[in-house]
Amino acid sequence: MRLADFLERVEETNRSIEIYAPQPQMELVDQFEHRNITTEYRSLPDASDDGFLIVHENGTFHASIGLSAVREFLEPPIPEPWNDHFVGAEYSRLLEILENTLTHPLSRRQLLATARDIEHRAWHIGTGTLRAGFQQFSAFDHQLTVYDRLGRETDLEIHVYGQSDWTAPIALAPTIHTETAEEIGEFWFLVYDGGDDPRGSYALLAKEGSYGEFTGFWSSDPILVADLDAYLLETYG
Amino acid sequence: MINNSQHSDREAVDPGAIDSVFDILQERDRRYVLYFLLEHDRVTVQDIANVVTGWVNANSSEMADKDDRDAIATDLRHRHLPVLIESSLVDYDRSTESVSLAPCPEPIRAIIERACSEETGS
Repeated sequence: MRLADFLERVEETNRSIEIYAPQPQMELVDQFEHRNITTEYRSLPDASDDGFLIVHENGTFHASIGLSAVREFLEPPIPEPWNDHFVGAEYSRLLEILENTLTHPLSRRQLLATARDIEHRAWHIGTGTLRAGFQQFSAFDHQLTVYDRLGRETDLEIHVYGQSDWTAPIALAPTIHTETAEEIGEFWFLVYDGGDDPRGSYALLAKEGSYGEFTGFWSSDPILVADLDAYLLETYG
Repeated sequence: MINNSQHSDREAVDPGAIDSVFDILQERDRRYVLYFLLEHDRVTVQDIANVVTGWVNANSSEMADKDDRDAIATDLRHRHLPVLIESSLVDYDRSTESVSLAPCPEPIRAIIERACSEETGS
């Protein structure tokens, strides 16, 4: 079993979004194109108050949601995990619409935004195990203060995995795993088992391609998340 | 060429047409079909089912899923579209499986627009 096998469990999906509103919604289009999702605008009569969007998967209707519920998406969705901004955020609902689908390409910003959603979840629940893989520890440098605080101020057990001979600062709250396995250098992952909340589990897994773009998915499927967690524990501790 | 709607404007609207449009407007899903056709010339039956699903749920904070969509699609196909076509408010094109708003007297169109504004506006 390898991390790559988990990508194969999720099918590649062709997603597109139709935005229905009285006026074109350029900010929304930008947000989705940031996430590499094609969008199409279709007008509603001027008298209409607001609109809605429809998510299509492989050409068929997957879900629809009102634009008022999507507004949250316009906020740059990268607040710190302890920021209450995220609580009950409609943004999470959008992540729900888009979960369990293998997406390519994904940008670093996209992955960071999704990672923050998982970190927030872990911060809020405050128990359980959070495993994070940032490929190289140099990438973890920016995250260090976030993860140190997560580790100190909650009962979370935090494991961070990475390649290279980075020397961790002394007395760091997370447990640091320095690995030589190739896949640790190739995959960006975040796996949270949900702690005391049976519906809290969430994972993100993405593989970096030769041009710095990622292919991956996020999922709240408890079985998939538990399998990923077990794999990481067995393979890397 | 005579502009059909202007021409009709000068004549009294048949009371039967008023009865018919209010009858049609009694059902929410039929109203939303007409609202969308005010804005778009020709829409496939597949698309109109998607649109009605998204639009009638737009003010809910919940998302609508494929089951919601399929229920609305079935209702449209078997109940509402036949009524709309029968009423002559909507034309159906068999070859493209699409619907469009039939040319109608301006007052009838105004009633539909007013309903749209009241129901979907702020």
